[in-house]
Amino acid sequence: MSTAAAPTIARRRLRHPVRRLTIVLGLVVAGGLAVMLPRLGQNPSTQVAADSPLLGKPAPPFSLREANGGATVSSATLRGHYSVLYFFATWCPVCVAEVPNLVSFYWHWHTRGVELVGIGYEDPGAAEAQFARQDGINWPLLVDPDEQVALRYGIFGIPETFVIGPSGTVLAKLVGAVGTGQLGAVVERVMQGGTNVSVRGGAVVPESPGQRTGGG
Amino acid sequence: MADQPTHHEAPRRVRRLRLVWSLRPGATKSRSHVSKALWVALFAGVLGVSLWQGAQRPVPSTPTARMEQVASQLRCPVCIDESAAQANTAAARAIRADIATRLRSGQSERQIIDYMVSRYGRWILLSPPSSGLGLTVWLAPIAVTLGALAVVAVAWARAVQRFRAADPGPTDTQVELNGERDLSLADRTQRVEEERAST
Repeated sequence: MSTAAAPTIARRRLRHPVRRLTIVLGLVVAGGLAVMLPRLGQNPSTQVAADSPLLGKPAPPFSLREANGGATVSSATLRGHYSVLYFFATWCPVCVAEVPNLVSFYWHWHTRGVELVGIGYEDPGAAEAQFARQDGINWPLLVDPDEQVALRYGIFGIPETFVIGPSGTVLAKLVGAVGTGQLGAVVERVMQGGTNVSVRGGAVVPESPGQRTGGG
Repeated sequence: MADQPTHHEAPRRVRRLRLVWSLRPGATKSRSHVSKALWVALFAGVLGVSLWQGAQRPVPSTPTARMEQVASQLRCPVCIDESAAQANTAAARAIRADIATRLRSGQSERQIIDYMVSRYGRWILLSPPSSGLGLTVWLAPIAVTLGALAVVAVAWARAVQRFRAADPGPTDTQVELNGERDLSLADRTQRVEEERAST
């Protein structure tokens, strides 16, 4: 008797408007928590960094000195060429490991009129000057005092790379390592008319080791 | 001195007025409606004042305080859930320096925040925007709170209904007389007699 009545009572209880409303509210709250909790404590995803609002917009202007005390390079001097702005740091292991990839990219693409410029992030000029003495680094490495140019380009970490068109428009952004052929493929794509190209090459390094321990 | 009301007379007069008011036809039901309306008005008032106070922000007096107020609305791009005002990273310092420069040049808070969004996207905002998809983040807690209040109100109303069905309780006159302990015996007797005569 009681076994037959039990499901009926349970069903009747579920039909109760208060219980129904409570269940719906509970589900809404649980759903919201399920979406929000995994996001807490996360760094900006590489997708957020790759989807730069600068894509398709005029590249922010800059004028920076070379680390080895050479000439000043500005956005105006790069006009008329496809140019690649590579934000890096000498303390960034990914950036150091990528030097051979950049050397081969430079030798392949510089002859086709593509300019490569390195912009140091949170890096003293002396460290950059020493870094520039490595074999094969023939492109200018610029010092960005106070990271103001990095701010203008909305840098989340390094390495991050922008491809600028001859008219000064931001055509592509790569986040993370450029890899052996990825940067070349992106440049080829934008030279064939591609715009708003955003590529996630991998994780970015947010801050220098000193800042990571002393930050906050 | 004789015309001046004594301390005993004034409360008694008030109690008599209350008694007259409560003895009008349909008094109990009506009083319950008044009470409900007062609670709703009180709740709405408290909610309104809280929302208004929450929307008010103190106007910073110094340039540094102004800079910090703007920076506190932006994320540090290289940190985990930290504002550009709190973080001690190169990126946060760059943002603070840029905000200070822009404030000195006469830019408004809105213009500076829009500039940061144009560089980093909407991710840079610590609080979600109060428009578009971000609006749902603001409205969801209000909707859940109102829903929870509705659950409590319905449950309460049903509990009261069940209680009344089980026990009809004393008559209106008895309730009033219980509350008027200082009435004379003659007054009480008269009132009960009036009730009996009317039924």
